[in-house]
Amino acid sequence: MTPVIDICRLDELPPGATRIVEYEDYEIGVFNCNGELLAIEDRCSHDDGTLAEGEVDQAACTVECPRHGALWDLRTGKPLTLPAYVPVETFPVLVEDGLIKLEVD
Amino acid sequence: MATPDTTRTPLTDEEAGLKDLNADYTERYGFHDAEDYLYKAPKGINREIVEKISELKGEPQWMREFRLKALEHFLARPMPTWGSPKLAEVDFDDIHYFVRASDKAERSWDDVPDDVKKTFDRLGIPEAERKFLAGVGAQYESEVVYHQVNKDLEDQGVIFVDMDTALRDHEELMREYFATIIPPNDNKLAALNSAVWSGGSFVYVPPGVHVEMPLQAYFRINTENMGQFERTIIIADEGSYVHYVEGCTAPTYSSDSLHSAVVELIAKPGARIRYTTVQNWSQNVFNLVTKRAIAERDATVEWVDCNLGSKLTMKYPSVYLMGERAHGEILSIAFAGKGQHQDAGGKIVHAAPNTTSNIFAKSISKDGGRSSYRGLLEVAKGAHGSKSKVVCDALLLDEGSRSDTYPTIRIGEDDVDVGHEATVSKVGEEQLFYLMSHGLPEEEASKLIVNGFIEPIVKELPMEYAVEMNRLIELQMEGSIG
Amino acid sequence: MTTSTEPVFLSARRAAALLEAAELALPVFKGEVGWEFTPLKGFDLAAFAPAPGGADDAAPHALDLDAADSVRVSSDEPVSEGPVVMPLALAAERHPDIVERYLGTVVTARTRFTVENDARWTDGTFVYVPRGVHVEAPIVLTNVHDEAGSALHHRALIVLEEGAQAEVWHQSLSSDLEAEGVVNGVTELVIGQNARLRFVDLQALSERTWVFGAQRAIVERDGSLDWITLGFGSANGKVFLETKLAGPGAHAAVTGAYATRGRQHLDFDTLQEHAAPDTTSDLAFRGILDGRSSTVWRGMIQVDEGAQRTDAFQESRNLLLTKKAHADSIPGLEILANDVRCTHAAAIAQIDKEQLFYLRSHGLPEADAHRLVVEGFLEALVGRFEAGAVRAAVAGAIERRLQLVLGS
Repeated sequence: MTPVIDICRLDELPPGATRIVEYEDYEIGVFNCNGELLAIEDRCSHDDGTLAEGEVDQAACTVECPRHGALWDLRTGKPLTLPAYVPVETFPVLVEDGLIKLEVD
Repeated sequence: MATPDTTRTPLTDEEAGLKDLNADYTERYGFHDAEDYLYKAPKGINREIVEKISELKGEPQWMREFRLKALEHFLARPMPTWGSPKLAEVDFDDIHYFVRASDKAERSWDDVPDDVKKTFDRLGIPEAERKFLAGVGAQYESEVVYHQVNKDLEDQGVIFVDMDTALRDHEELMREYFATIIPPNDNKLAALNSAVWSGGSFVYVPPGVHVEMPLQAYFRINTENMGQFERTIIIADEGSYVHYVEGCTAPTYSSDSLHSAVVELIAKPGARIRYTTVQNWSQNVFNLVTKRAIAERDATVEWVDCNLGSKLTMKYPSVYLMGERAHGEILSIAFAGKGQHQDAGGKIVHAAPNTTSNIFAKSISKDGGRSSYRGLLEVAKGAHGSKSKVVCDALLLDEGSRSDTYPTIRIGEDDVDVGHEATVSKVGEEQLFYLMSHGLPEEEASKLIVNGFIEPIVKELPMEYAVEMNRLIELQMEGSIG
Repeated sequence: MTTSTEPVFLSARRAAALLEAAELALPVFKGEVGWEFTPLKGFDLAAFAPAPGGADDAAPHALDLDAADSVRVSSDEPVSEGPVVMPLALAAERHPDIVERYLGTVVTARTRFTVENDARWTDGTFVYVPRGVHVEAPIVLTNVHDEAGSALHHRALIVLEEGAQAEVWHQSLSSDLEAEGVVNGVTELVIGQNARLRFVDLQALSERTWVFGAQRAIVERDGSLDWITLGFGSANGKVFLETKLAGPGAHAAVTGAYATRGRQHLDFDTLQEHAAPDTTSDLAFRGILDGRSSTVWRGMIQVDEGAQRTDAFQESRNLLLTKKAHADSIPGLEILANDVRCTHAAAIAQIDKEQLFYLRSHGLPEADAHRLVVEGFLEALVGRFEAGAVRAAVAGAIERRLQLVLGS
């Protein structure tokens, strides 16, 4: 039974917004991409720093690492440009009773 | 952003000589005359200048936006805190970021100073090339040759044009590849280049095509060459091969003190790209370059990098081995003479299994020059079966010269074979003695030994360069550089 | 922390250091130079109460010393012209001049760790060998981290005057191998003109304890240092090992071995500084990594201007036994003299298939052959020592550690 954690209410994460949560060893970024809810590790594998401050492109569903510009695909957790090349983990997002939840491994 | 002009070290004789040279050129050849030039930006960088550059080039909206965004990154980012202390001397407010030269500019070979001519003599450089290097004559006699070269390439389907033309005529390809290897925010100098880039080559080689003859940067006609902020992209499609050569061994005078190029290489499965650079900028130049390549499955990328000139060069060509059995190679020679700091090296990232790489770096320091090797060898988790060897050798010719080696090795995979060696030494007594006992005067013997030291890398250069390189090192050894 | 009989110079030193410590931050951000691979995120030094001083008694897993008549720390003054070996606090009272002359002159870097140590050290040892005295028996110093959850700051000051000779064995142990805590040590070694010191340092702390160390040696003209460091315990932390060849003819050999497992993370930062001509140094570090452990080795050879005819060598080799183990190796050279020979080599590899094949073709089952090759890899370091008590003890310590890591 995969553990599920609560993030916040659906209305607290409007399109374009991001929320960072901590779970065990991970920091996870939850994004609202034009209505689509996605969650990837809040970590650019290039330097293991945070993606939180990065610019989100809602049309392409990507976030750009603020430090060296690596572009991340929010759906797959894969880097689309260098200098990052190792993918990060993604997490399934659920909405139950107006609450956003994450399945964590 | 301006660097405070507090501590200025006195100019060396060479720097003093060069300083006057540049002043001569601008007065005599009317660089400042509005009639001769379509546009010369005032010093410093801001939104207006970047917009003007884009406007003058007639660029599409997406490129204009790209430039402006890059400008924001550049302004926001601090200078790197590592590297050479000379970095602090770069004054970003004291630079013209864009100069479009008129094609009609006429200069006379007779006006070129004698000692410059003498150097070209000794180096045996052909007439046409001499004129070009001295900034003389935009029309060179060998234009006919260049036209023929271009026709052959066209027949094979090879695209070899300058970047402005590429943006106009091959916009799709540009959109697909431009800035995907080096994003605009990768580092401060890449951000600067992304904002004000002008000139550079765009090369596309179709699948299976082998370009036999090396493509040379100065074969591109109708463009400014060796500009400050060149941007180059080379795409070698599946199974193709191309060798690109830029720069030259002869001392190249530049009135621009900051050169910051960006080079992106993409080698698709089974392709091979070799990129050779020989740089010998005058001693007023800061040469800060970002060069990066990706090699897909079964592809090979080779960087051959020779750094002879400039006051400070910071350049670490890199290869990301993204597909199985990809191969990366970096061959580097650096010569640091009086007042110079060559801070070079390479980066290889093994991101796929069974990939291989070699870094072979040789440096020579003389007259208080400083040569540093800075490199990264990284093997990612999953890149099992990877093999890599890094060898750095440094020759210190006299007291007061300096050599540093800063390699980093990061290994996240157990099934790998990675080795790194570095040695620092001076010209061997026994070798010298042996040669001298065979009748060679000491100076000749030293030159022979030094040439032997760099020979493994020099032999990888195209022949004309190799010959010039040996002669140039000899010249450097005498300390009498033009 | 301070006793009423503590000399003034020492109390003043502690007080100043306490103030200084308050101004210094821990290197917590990953981007901080020198700490890139050992981020201290989540580490709070203040959460560990300073440990009270303890007696220097032997504890489990000590270095096996077959040598009889080893000299141990005691509060007795030497009877004859022997070495002074006593707790540092006591030495400060009884020999204030000597202690004051040398304390803090070797490890001079002021980081949060060295400064905290300066202010709070409790356990400490002082070894002083007078001019021309040769101490045959090994001197044994033992530090025990006794109280779980505490931060033990200990300090060693070892001084060999001109022409002196000695062998010192130093071990850092935990009485409870499951205990959490912090051990923050500072070790200062002074090797005078023509003196010879062999220093064997074993760190076998609980694998749930943080370790921080600043260790530095200064070797004077024609002096010689043979330094062996075995890093077998601790959960995480960083140790600096520096040697300065300060006078012509000085020599230092540094041998390091480690075998990590589980989630251990060891970070070694070594420096061979050649500050005089005709000096030599030879550094060899070898480690095996099991489980999800990780190690960092950063080593710099620095040759100052004028240090002509320096001959420096540095080698680091790692053997990764699992997919999740990770090793970072950052050798470095900064050379400002030209008539030198400086070589460094770093290698990270898997088990040598040829060696394996050879052993298996002689009838050994795979697992045993594998084990032999791994053992051989570390024990190659043992070949750096001549036959005797040191060689036996080091080999023994490595063997016991390997048994623990690889399973018997």
